[in-house]
Amino acid sequence: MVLSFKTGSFTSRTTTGTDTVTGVGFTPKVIILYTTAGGAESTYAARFTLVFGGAIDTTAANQQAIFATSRNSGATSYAEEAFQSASAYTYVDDATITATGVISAIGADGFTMNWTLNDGVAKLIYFICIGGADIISTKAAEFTSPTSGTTGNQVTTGVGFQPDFLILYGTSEAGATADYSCVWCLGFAKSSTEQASLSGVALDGAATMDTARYQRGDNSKCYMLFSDASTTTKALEGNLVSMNADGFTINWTTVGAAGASKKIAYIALKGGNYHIGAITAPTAGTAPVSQATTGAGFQPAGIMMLSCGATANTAINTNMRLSVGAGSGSTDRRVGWAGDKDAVADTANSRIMLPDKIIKVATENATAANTTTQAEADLTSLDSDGFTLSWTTRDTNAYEVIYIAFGSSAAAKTLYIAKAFFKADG
Amino acid sequence: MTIQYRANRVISGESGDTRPGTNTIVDTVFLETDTFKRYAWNGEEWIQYETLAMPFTNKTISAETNTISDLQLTSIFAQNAKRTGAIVPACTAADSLTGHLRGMTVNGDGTPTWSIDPTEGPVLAFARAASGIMGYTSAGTTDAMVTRRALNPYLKIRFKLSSISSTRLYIGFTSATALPNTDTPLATNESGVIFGYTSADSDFSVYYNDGQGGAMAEVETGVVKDVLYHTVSFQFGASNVIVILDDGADTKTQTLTTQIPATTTDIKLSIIGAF
Repeated sequence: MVLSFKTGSFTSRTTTGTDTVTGVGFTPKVIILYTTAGGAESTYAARFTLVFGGAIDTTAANQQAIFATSRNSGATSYAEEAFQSASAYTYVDDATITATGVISAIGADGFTMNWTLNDGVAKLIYFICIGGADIISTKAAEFTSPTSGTTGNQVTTGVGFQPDFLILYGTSEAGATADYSCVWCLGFAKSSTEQASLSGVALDGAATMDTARYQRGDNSKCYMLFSDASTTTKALEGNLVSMNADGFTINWTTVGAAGASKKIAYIALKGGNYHIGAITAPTAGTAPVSQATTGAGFQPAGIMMLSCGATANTAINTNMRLSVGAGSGSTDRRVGWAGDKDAVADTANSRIMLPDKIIKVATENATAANTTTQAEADLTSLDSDGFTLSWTTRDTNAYEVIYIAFGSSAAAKTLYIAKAFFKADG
Repeated sequence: MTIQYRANRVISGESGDTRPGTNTIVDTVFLETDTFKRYAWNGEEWIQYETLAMPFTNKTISAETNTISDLQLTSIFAQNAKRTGAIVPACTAADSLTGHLRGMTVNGDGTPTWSIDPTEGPVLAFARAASGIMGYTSAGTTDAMVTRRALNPYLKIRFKLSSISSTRLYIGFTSATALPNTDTPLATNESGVIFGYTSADSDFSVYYNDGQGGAMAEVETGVVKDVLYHTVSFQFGASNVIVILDDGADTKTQTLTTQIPATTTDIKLSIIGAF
């Protein structure tokens, strides 16, 4: 039994039609797509962009995508977002969906993306494929956060099995719509004691840029949405209480009006081994600094690494930043980074996608090429109980980095009873 | 043994003793004190003519083959009608609890299956990949596997656990409704005697407590834990509990006389692996 994990990339076509991706090496059971940049790989470009989507098969209902952007718009901020059902990739312009990608075929070595709508701009897209016999069941669907003020447990059913791992993602959209906002969340949960979330916001139409980020790597939260009207206000926040026989339960501790009845996509997996943890970037040593992390409990087949580029804390931090990386080995890893500066008169945002790193912490600049890298690491190896990174750049800040390890199911342990005899008086 | 000459031409001795021969008076009787057979000398040889009916007490049957027939119980309520139970795996997919062990409950993941071990024969197997507990438990307060030291319970079991990495093995009796998946099988308020190992132990050990508020006691058998088959037995008695691992040599026999369950404390049988 095995869990397979592979990352890769492709550049989308510029017309409607299909892009075929091969080289995965196995039949994907889960496909995750993400983009932070739209231009050439390894080149900074202006703008904060996050596209995140997933699919478990070619059925439209089993694919969802989100989009969030803060443009390089000068004196007045320009933010857009979208939640799209029935697609694994979506792109927005002027609060209108302009590109839609649907996983239309999955094969023994990859998948096919059908662009049913195309804006004519080639997009560099990173993907994560998960498969293998250990993945017993998958489900991709969406649910809606509670109505305003309805805190407490929300039970999501209809998954069809008890999940071992959840990916949650969404924006501040209440339907499969696009709008002038930039509010997003990526959440991950294995149990009530292993969960994490990363969130960001950029207000639209602001004369002074107003952006923020929020990260919880302390295993206490799995989802948080900012208000689309205030970067200091949480509109929705919750933690995973339990995985249930037919779904999961999230305890919503905050449900404000701006976070109520919002669409949340999820991908549920059963089978395989998962571990959610957090590390801090090294603050000393001459680069490259090797950092070995243990405690996964198994040898990962792949890892995701994410960070909003702040030190570990439970507070909202200014500046919207996100690094999303993944890798299965020293030659198969990639990261997308984007940042959007807060409290400046004109927009200062930038983004980049790198095929030779797995995590990046940077400070955006009005001139994208002048973005400053604070810390950056490559994946050296996946080890028997974790992984090893090589920090090719580091500074004196202990940036918190969330990781999710994916691995094969643990081998069964067996109790054997050959004979037993019992007797007693009476 | 030397034969003894008794009154009235009776000679006694054991069946292996040399008996007198030619000069013996006819109709002399030889009584075998170990078999209770009586022989008479007919002038040429000793002929058995009867076997005395003698009460059979404090005898040891130790030969390889013995035949005992026509037994009659004087009372179905006599102490020789004890509660018994067994696990003798049969070649079916289900468990094969017999007798009073039928009251036990499968604990944890799934139904046991059977497999053939090349040396043990059919064995019952509980398997799980995700962490948790597997095996049998007696969770109820009145089910058949509730007993107490006053009833002199005896358990013998042959077992193995497929991994010693971060696993726990607990076999024995507890006053709790279930054995925990922690490294403390007996809490301060719980009575019991448990054999096995915690995730931190290096040896097979015996844990015991009397539920009087103190921490459980532990004694090591000196046998490093492994994934091989072993046999352990528990004999609860009026003044002690004897736990024997395999051949019982040295510290593989533990005689517990203190901090053991009170004679009237209900204790329940559990056989679990956990991780």
